[in-house]
Amino acid sequence: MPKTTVSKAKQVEEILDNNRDIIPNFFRTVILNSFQEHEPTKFELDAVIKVLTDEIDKVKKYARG
Amino acid sequence: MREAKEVDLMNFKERLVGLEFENPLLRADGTIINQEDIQKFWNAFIKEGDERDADYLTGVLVGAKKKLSNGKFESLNTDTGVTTLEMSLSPCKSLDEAKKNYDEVRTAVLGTAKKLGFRYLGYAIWPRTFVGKNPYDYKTKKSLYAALNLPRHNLQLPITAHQTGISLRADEVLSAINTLQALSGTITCLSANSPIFEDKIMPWKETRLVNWNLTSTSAHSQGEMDIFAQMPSRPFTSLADYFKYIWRTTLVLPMLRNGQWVKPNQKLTPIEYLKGTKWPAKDLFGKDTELEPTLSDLNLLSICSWMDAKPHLVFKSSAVTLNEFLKNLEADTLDEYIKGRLVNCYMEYRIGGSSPAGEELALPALSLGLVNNLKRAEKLVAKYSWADWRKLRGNSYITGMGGKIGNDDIVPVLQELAEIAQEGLKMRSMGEEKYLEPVNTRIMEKKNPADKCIEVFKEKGMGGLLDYVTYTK
Repeated sequence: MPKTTVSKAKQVEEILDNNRDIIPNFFRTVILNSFQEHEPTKFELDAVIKVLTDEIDKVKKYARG
Repeated sequence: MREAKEVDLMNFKERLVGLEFENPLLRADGTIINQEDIQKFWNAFIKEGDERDADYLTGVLVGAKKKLSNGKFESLNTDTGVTTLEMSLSPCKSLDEAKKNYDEVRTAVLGTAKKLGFRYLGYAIWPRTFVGKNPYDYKTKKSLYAALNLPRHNLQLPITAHQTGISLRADEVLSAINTLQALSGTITCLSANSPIFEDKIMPWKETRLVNWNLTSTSAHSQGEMDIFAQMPSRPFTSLADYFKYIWRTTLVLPMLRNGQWVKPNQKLTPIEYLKGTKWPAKDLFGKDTELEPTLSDLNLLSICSWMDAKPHLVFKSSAVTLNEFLKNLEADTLDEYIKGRLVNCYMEYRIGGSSPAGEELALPALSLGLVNNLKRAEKLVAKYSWADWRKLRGNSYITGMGGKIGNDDIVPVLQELAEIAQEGLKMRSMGEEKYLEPVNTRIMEKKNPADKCIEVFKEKGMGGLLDYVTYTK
């Protein structure tokens, strides 16, 4: 994987690690497995980061605000 | 997804209604069933007169066609996960008739589930989910999944919804898409029902929508993402506008030839594909072949979108050619062109959560009533901006009945929604408004099924919850 892609994949893992209380383990397994089985594009990784971040922000704002 | 057969369903006096219900099938202890379990299920379920549905590529039994007492065959299969049982029931003239068929199918499902010691749930929850398990082991062995290039498709394993199909007249399609899409957040407020996952309460009330949002990240462009899970950023201005929106991406599904999937060798958008004459292609056995675009391909491509309000258009082969269709698409005249040229046209409203036992007809009634009173539903939509409806849709699975639209509480809007549906159902003079009772109760109590589920879980724990959500009859 190119350097930027590796670093974005790592960023996804960090988001999942830091939000285990929000994102279920099943989601984590499927997302991280998918990176092993198929090399993600930059678009996909940006999308995963954005959707995860949006979900976490919404939970913080609406469910825990 | 199957090849549409040319049966004329456009001469309806009152709208037809079809049900597509998905529900979880679990072991007695609440853990998920596996491949071996589902094979046992199908083998016990299929009786004399029923048909077996084995996948042509994998050879594995993936469903059945149940022969009902009225002679009709109704389809059942497992969706993405073997723990998700889906029944697709044929269109009926009334909700009473649809309920009768549904009751017969459910009774057969439940009989088999009980015999095998499985639980058939009236909620979309997998309370003891996939922890420590490989998701692939629980995926239905359908050839289609081998053809899809969606890396995070396994997120769809623990998902169920209740979808309703409602007849549309050709001149209603555009309004029905925009109106029902705008109202999708209200349906989630009313029907969210999947708040327990992995032995705990989730910070949202409808896990399924998070699964969809994350599944959309399998896409390779914003266009692809949009057709999977998002509400469009603006209402559609015409049918051509709608098709151009959902066809911005390359083909998501292969084409069907004699019930088997065939993939073009090159990446093509639907419009590029339809404009061509012959495309080099491969079947799923890897054999070289060619694809000549057909009207059946157009029918299939027209439903390649997974937005909440998804129209199904089936074109009349004696009245439509691909060239004419493409010309009208380009000229933005499809809304006129389709009049008199369809053999079937209905709205698949996909946003509803799986309903608790005894309340299954509530969302179909709500959807049918709204479509049958479309002008008044349009007026409700016009009270708020598209951005407000979009925001509601984006937050409804977290806020539930506590949500807001603009600066207003959602509950009065839900009350108006139920009134519109009631009026729409009364226009049919079939007494179908009785099915709205659970909707009215939810609004009055300001609690959706997810709220009830959380209460039971807190009060009675996992064992109590499992009993609460399991069908007994």
